[in-house]
Amino acid sequence: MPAMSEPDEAWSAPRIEADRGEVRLRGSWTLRSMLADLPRLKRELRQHAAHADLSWDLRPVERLDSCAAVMLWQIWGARRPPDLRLKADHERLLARVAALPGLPPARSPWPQRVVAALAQPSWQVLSHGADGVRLLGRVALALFYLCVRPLQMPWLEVSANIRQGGTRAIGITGVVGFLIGVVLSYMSALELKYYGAESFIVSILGISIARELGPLLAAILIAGRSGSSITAQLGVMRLTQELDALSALGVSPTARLIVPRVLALAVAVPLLVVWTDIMAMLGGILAAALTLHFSFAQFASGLPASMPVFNFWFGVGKGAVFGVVIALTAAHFGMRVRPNTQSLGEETTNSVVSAITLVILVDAVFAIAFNGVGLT
Amino acid sequence: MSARCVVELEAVGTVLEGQLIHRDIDLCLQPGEVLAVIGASGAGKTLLLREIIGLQQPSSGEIRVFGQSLNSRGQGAHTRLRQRWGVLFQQGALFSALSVFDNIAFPLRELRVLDRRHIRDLVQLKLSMVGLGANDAHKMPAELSGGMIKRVALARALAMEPELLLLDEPTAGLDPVASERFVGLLTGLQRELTLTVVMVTHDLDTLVDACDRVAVLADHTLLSVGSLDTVMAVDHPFVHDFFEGRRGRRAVANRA
Repeated sequence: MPAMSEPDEAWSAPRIEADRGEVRLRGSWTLRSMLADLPRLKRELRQHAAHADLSWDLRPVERLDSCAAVMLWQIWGARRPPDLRLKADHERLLARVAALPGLPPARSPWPQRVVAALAQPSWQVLSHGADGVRLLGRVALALFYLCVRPLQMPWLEVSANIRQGGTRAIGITGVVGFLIGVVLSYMSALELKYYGAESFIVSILGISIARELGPLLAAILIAGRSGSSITAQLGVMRLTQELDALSALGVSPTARLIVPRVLALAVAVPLLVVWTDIMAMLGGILAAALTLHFSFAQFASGLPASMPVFNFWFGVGKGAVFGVVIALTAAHFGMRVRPNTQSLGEETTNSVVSAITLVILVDAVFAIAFNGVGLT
Repeated sequence: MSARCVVELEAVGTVLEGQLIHRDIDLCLQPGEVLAVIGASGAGKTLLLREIIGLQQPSSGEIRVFGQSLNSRGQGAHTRLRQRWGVLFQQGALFSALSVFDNIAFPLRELRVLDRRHIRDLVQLKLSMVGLGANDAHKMPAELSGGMIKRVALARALAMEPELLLLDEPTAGLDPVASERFVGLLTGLQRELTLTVVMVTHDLDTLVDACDRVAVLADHTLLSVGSLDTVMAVDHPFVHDFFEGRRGRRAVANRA
């Protein structure tokens, strides 16, 4: 019993004495004193309790806490043994235990649970839809209001968010873009060499990067970076009632917090797309130079001819749409955070997963709608 | 070292980020005593409480709880020591993701010895001790009022059958009625469970109703430790302001 070695724990071990039809408990009966050999104590007490006609003497007990009282009460089968003697203050404690009301069940009966479990997903979809529409409406109204009163525009917030979501993402988007460019160029070069079609590397890199890879890479990275941070920020502001405080001060949280983030990402993501395009092209050119002995000058002269400039603007435009989608998704989930830590974590995860999924979905819609445009 | 003290502070000094907070604090808390620590805002009352429970290291001096120093022992002894006290944080610090029931059951489950039925009944007992009904057990912390949060936090602090209870502003943020009820509850439980209590408070009514001794923290040190009358007799601007404001005079005059 390690606890016994404590020099100044002011208790003696709980002891059970039984003779001639009487059980006597001695020592200190508390959570800490029983902890070391609770199973043994319980077993012994249960054996004694099996004889209904035993008398119990608890008067020699030094200390009795509620943990021990509850244990004894349960072992006695939730009723007082007919012959029980104990100290007056222990009697009070036992009376408290005896008077405990039953706990109402935490779970509702099963038919209700089954119905609830079946209704849950559709209810979720409906509530997400309703909240989403409401958010869109609020953002539209706030934008309209801000257009009418441009002086109210939170420019500082917008610029701070461009810095936070855009400028600070330059490093990661650059690195990832460059590496993807290297991989793409390297992999295509092998095949192209085989068919002797090396010169197509220019249009492969140009079109795939500017039209698809640049915008998608930038958007997915921003969805992870800014999406999570927007959701967490708004969520914590909800937890700490800061949103309520803003509303009470007459400042609309939508106009002050959500609109600047939407605008900031609508500006920052297209710029990041341009940057990612450049870095990916550089990576691609570098890899092509090493494997296919293409020079930079060959790329510079070949690119305008093989890649219609539409693709570049298409990619940048998609970037702006992605930025808006990410900011709105993140804000939507941020406003759904319930006041507990578990929900904050869940909604942040949901936000990032949904933002990335939505970005890819929107990209697919664009791909179908603009099928063939700018590709010849 | 006297073996009698439940909490013993010896020449404790604290310097935080180059700023002197405490110096030369000596204190001995007798078993079964209720001590209130008062002091101006920012005097380091809560910090002192945090040092007693080992959340913060004092820069100098030594703190012993139940005769054991906090920084000299191994992990196991530390855990056992921590099981002997309960702490009520100022904002309650309930786990927001857990229901009231699970909040109180948490420390009991951590022991990994008690069975489910035992824990269930113990939690219910604690709930009834702090005056909450069985219907409150499945609520989430966000659904509770300020007074109920304090009660649940107190129930959680009492879950491990502590001998020492540390309270940080137990009545802050409660309306006068709730605050009086809470103090009544505290004193009742203190007597019933023979707890030793250290509380940080601003509330004069709490001071008058519940406390055996008062410690005044001002000018970085304990100005005076003693009964309310002793402390009130101290000639110091803080003491004058604290007790001789209109509210102070009323609270002291009303004591029975």
